[in-house]
Amino acid sequence: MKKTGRGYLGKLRSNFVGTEFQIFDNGLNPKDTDPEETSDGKSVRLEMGSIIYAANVLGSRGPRKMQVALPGLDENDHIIPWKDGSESNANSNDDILTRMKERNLKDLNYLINKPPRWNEQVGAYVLNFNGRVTMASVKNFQLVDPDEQNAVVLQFGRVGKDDFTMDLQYPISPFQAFAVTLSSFDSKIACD
Amino acid sequence: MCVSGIDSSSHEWGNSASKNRNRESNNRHRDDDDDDDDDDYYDNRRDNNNKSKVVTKSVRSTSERDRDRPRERGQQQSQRDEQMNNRDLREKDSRSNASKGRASYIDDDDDLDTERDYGRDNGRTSNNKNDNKKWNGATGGRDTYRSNKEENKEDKLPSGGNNNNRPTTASTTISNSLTRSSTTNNIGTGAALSPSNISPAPVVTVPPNLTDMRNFLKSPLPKNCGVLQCYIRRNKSGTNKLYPVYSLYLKDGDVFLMTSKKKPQNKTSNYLITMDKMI
Repeated sequence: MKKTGRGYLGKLRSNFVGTEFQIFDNGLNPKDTDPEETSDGKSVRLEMGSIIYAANVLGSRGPRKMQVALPGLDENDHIIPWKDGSESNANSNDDILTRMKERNLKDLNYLINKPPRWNEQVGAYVLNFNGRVTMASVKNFQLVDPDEQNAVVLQFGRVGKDDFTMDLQYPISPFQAFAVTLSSFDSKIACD
Repeated sequence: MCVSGIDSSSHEWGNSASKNRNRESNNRHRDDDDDDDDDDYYDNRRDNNNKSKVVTKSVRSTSERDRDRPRERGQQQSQRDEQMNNRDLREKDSRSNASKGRASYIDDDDDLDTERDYGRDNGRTSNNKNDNKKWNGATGGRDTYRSNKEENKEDKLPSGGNNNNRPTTASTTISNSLTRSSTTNNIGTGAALSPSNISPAPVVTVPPNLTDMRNFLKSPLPKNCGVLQCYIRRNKSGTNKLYPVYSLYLKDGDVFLMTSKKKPQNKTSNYLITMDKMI
């Protein structure tokens, strides 16, 4: 699997402990591009979203908390290009991850995982997946707008040993959804 | 964010939520480290496959009964029923696994909690109708719409059998509720009109346009596609043991969409995502 393959769409990358993830499209890393040659067709990569998992303090175990921010959409429902800002020139945006940490969510679609309810009878945290998820897993999640928690934008969960379901709807793209889901697969040293 | 798109499906999802709220999948955060424990209970399930046959049967009969109510349903509807039935078949396995929870109700293995929950479900279903109403009241704005539909449906079904079957039909509830919302709108009676005002739902959801796959994958899912159901298969066999390959497929038609693999020899995780098939 190569970045140069025809079908290459982008990537998901994390920090060392697996609490922060960034989604990039198939553009070039700004570090690898010469600022003077940026106009030669190959474009700098765009950030397609970021995910932050809250690190659990050692010993405490509870449901994962995730925050996801996606670039906003324009009036035609196209994703507003979010240039990778790791190059610090004045007119580039901060990257989405930084913006999330600063709680500056302008032009971003901000989503959180729906907090599971504690169910006394089963003695576990539960979420209603409407039958689309049949197995317990720490990876299961439902992403919602914090202000409209009944609208599930993306849900993911386990149905078999190596089988999972993923349901999505506007405004997330399948690529973003898949990347967010992969972040849930990734092992997290600092979580759980 | 688009209000109508999200809103509509919140209706649908919310609606089935009212019906199946008991049948919640556990989001367990304790003992599931995923890669090891689950082997045990997977095996457990297989052992119990026989017990679940009865349940599977009742699932079929529900969908057949659904088909026997043509006057409530348009043509489009029966197509969807077909789809649902197909899904039924496809999900038979997982479903019967789930419903076998009754058998393992007293099993104290942590990993079986999901299923235990289902077992408990069945005990509760006799109160289902009342429960629904309470639930509807509690969720505010959507109650009118929902209780209308619920009652319509329940009036036409022999209530006992319906209730018993509920937990097992839950796997298809998303499509089921989609279907019902279009029914309500098609009837055209006064009662049916007001719900359509409350719900700005797109009545018909269109299948996604896959001709330009790259564009489809990278663009926000169109509002009129509703909820797109996909599944992910993880391949951990052979050389993929340490770095499994994840492949994403559309549920309808099993269309391959994307695949991803973690890059080895990286200090931090780095997943490349491609539309090329690997292996």
